[in-house]
Amino acid sequence: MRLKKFLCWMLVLIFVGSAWTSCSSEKESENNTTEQITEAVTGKDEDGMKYTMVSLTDSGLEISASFDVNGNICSLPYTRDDFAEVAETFAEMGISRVYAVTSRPGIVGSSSAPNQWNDPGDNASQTGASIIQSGDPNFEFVYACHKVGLEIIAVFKPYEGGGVSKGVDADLSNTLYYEEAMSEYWTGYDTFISSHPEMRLIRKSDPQEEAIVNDTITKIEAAFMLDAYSYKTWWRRNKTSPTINNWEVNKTPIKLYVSKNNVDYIEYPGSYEVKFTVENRKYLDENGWALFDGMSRCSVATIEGIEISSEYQCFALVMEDNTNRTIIAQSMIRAFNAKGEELPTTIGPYVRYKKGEYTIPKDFIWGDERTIAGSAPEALKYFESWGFDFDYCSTGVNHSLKFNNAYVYGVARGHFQYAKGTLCEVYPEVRQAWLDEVQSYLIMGYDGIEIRLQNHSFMISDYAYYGFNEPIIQKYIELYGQDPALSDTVSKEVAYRIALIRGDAFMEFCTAAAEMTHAAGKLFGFHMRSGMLDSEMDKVMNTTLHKCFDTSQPKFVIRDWKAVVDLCDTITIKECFANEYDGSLNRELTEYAQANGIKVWVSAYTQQTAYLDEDGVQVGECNSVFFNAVGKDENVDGIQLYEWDPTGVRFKYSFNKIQKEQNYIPREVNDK
Amino acid sequence: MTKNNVLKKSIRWVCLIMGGILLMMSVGCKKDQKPADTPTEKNGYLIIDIAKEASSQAHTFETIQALMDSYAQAGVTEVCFEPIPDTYAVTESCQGAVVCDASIQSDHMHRTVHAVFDPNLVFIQAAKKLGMKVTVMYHPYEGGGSVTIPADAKAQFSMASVTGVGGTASFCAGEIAQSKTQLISSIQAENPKLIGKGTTSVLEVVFVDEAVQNRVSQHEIATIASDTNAEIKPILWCSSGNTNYERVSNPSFKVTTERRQITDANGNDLGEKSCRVLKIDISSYSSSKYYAVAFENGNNLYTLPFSMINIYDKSGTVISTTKAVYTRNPNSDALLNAQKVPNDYIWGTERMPIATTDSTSLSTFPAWGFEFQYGGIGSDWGDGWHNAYVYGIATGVQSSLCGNLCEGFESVREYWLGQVDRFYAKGADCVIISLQNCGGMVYNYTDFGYNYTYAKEFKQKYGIDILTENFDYMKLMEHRGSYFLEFLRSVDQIAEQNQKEWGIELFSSFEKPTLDDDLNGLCHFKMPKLVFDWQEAVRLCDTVLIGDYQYGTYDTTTAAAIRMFAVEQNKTVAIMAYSECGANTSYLESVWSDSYIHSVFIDSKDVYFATLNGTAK
Repeated sequence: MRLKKFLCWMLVLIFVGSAWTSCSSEKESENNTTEQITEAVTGKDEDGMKYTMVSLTDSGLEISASFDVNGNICSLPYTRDDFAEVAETFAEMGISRVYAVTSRPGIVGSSSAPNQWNDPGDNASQTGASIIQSGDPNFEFVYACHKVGLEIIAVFKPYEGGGVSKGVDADLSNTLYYEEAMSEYWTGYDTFISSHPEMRLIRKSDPQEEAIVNDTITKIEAAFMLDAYSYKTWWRRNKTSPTINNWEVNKTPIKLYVSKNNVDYIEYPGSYEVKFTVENRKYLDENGWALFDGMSRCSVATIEGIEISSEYQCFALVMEDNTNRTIIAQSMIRAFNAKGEELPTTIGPYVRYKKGEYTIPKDFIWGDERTIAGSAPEALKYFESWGFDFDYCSTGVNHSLKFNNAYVYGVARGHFQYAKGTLCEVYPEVRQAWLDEVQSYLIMGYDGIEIRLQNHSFMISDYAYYGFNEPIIQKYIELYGQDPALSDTVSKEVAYRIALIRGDAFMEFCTAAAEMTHAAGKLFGFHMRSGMLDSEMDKVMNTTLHKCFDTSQPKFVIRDWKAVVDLCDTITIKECFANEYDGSLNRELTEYAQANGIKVWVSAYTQQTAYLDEDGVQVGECNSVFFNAVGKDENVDGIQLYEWDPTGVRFKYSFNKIQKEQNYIPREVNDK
Repeated sequence: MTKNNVLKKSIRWVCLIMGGILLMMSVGCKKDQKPADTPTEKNGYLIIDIAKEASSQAHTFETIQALMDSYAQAGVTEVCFEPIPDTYAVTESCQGAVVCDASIQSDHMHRTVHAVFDPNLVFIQAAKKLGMKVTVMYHPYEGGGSVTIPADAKAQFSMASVTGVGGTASFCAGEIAQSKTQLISSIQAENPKLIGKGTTSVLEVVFVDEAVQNRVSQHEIATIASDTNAEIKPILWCSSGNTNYERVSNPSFKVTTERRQITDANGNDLGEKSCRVLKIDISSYSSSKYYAVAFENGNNLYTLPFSMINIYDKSGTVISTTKAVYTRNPNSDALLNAQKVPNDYIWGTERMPIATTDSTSLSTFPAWGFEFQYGGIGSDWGDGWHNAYVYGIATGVQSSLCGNLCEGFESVREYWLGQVDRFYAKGADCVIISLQNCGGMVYNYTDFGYNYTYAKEFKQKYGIDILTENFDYMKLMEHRGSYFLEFLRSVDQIAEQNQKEWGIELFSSFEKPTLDDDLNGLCHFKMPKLVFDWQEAVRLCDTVLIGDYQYGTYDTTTAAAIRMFAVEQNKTVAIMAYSECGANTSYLESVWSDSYIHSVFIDSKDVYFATLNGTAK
């Protein structure tokens, strides 16, 4: 009933809203087919729940919904009836097409959502219960949708291969495969990776680093930026950080903690000295590439008089006062041995936690934890017991430059040997496994396949060092006459060339998948973003959120974006506009698609960005402003509501947050 | 051609001709009734039990496809999948359940499901990719609940459970959680006045003291007799929760001899005359919920425990009880002799229960307890005579069949239909409906089927109150069967909508229905105890599968009327070949010679490949 009720209101949202427009809309002109709709708060429903009516334009935009199969089955123990109820409600809303983001076999760990095999009584994850109750959820959803006449497209995310950390005392019996990294366990990989872990992107080998990784650490440096720098926010605004004068350098002590295995951090058992000096340093980004032409003025904190033996695999830098301490932690926090050699390290920008539990509860089941950014003051309360999530969200920063301003950073010895859950597409076996998965969705009855590159499995800050698999090296030598593995570092050009080789291999898969889909008489689609249209190396390798090399992307380059579009019957612009739709970003793409009869959908972030940006602006896109703006773009055929969560759990959370902070009256859903 | 071969060929021809004559005689059929297009080409279906495969190793997509590839390369073009029951409802033991514990065999099932989500779907897809014709054998009554765990224990991923005798019947189909009131219910549940309650005073165990006849196989009747010369000394144990039984020290007992009319597990007289029996009355023990009784000289005495072991209160009134001839079987041999159940034991991982005619049961039951009602009368043939090492006795009766949903409810039939429809959606070309199941194993089957709707309808139809009056149980079976036929009609419609085929598994016992609980009888523990108009079912379906268990020799008269009628109706006729019943080359050659058989379903790849190569298309 809870579900029904919520979705009934969506019916109100879509259709009653349309009816309402007839009396509240103002036509732009007599000949203009687009009507400007304003947002209306219409009051309370019969149960006293407030809601906002979000109206649609009458410009002919179609509305499709996407449904995150995985996100739903891990949150609630889904039965067949639940899938049927979702499908029925979508049908009642008048939606004719649904995009199902499929649940990858093997139960992949991604993001912070608990998604693993647990007994329902453990309360950590409902995925196992959902699978036992309803069988393959991907099948059950397509079955339910077809029963009510919905067209349903499988959104296949080949790079969502998993990879999550588990504390060292975790019960691993419920995993298909696990490995040791960062002094603890990593697991939650898809079925193919669990059988073929060696086919993931491999890190460039560095014997010298490997030789010293367990050396005693005698000195630690952290170089905080003092010069002003300009960057772009992920919501496309230019910003400049303030210059920090020498006299403004924050000299409050930095505390040093150590841990044997990334839980139970203790303050370094001995005395140590922290010095602050202002120095000019070459400032490097997370891949070790120079950020600026010249030197940068830095506040360098040096911790000396320490001897961190290999018994301690991790340490943490703790700053109760983080004022004026912005840093690109991945490159500018460095640990040295007695010889002055720099040890290889990995940064944990996020802290693990379970809300209100400052120590790990007895009999805690790993997988039930979440992550909190080190830049949140609460992180200081949790890190000692829970430890860090290394390379979570890569650098943990979504802007164009990865300057962080955290209270605490975790640092582990060494690097990930593999790019967590990212398979190397250059192996024919990998492409075949993906094709098999596409085929299985087609056999299940999906009416089409849409490829989405986004994933949570390549959260690696220095991504340029991954992709040194033998077939890639061979291809590199064949194309460029050099062995990229021979140099000590990886230049941007080498990383770009590797990305091109990988992109070519991916296109082989994509072409075969399109052929297979078309041979079955079904639709093929692709999720595009404007970054794909950039041809220059620096632009395409932009790591700002929603650009082509952001933390969610597999980080390869497709040489010709038109070649992708040519394979498609439908494309989705999967680019967060932060509630400010700008059709010009993808104009060339949408015009090309329209000219070739390819349907264009725009993804509207309805929940994940339903919050305020750093400037206090509402960036969620489930509102009439956004819908109307998209409706004016004549190259767009429809809006795809992003990962609609019919249970309303997250939806409610997001909007309640807005309501609290901005006195914004949101749409609400009932509790159970 | 050697003399031997000539001889063999001659014998085969003689057999074939005689078989044909017998067939004609048995169905009273005139020669010209034989249809013109009797089958000339045979085909064989390899039966693959997906639950067994999925729990035999940690499968992935690759290993499942590789397995099916190997079958295809060996020439298999038609497969019949025994699917994993809905929500992993168990069949004979917990081994088909999904339990996550790397130390036990059933963890393979967890790993397989974890890796591929739905093994049924993946096996079907793998076969379809190879162009195989896929048949799925659907068992609507396979709703789990055949085994129990202690009432205070919890089994991982048990999606539904039912309070049973001896504990909680776990690993029932998830649908049962939604509709417990729609299980087949017992007469005592509908009329609680029939339950004998009271404080136990005397436990009576009666053994037969003269020779009796008992069927021991399809073609064999044996004489059994107790050895009453040895000293008789009972041993008694008590338990409050059907685990951790405690021995009663020196209970008083009295041995007497008398004559008594023996009745079977359903209260029907066995033989026309009374029989000399040895009666042991055990007393001087405190009242408990569960008892176990054994005798120091072991298993040399015969009883029908279901009717010959009883508990009385002080007034001599019978207290309702349920008997067990199986014990639970822990998940490892190391635990078989455990004195108590270890605190960290993971319930729901038990192996196939151990018959109490096996001496192992004596060391197993004290810690682990019994499986009441398991296996019906405990044997596939005969009346249920036992010379067991130990018997379990529980006070109380079962209120429902823990894994059998009642076909009389429309929602139940819709649920089954949804399962059939999904098999088609997953890629099955044909779904065969099989009545066989392990979800309704009881010995006193005539006590079940009394759901309130049936009682009401029966009263309207026949003017009889089945809850209080004597009646012909076969009438109730027919009444239930009429609803099952409704389900089959719906299956026919669903199959037509999907443009697919369907079939029905029938047994020879449908031809002349009786209350027969032998292996091929309608009332064997694996059957749902109903009967319907089989001719109507045949008319509706595309394939008729004869499910009779035949040991060693193919009997051409088996289900002859059904087969003849099916061929007349231009239906495909198939027959089961069970490897456990000795299906072999000679058996299959006899099947091939039968002109009323189109296909054979073989449940063993070894038998399939040993017998089918070169003999079938």
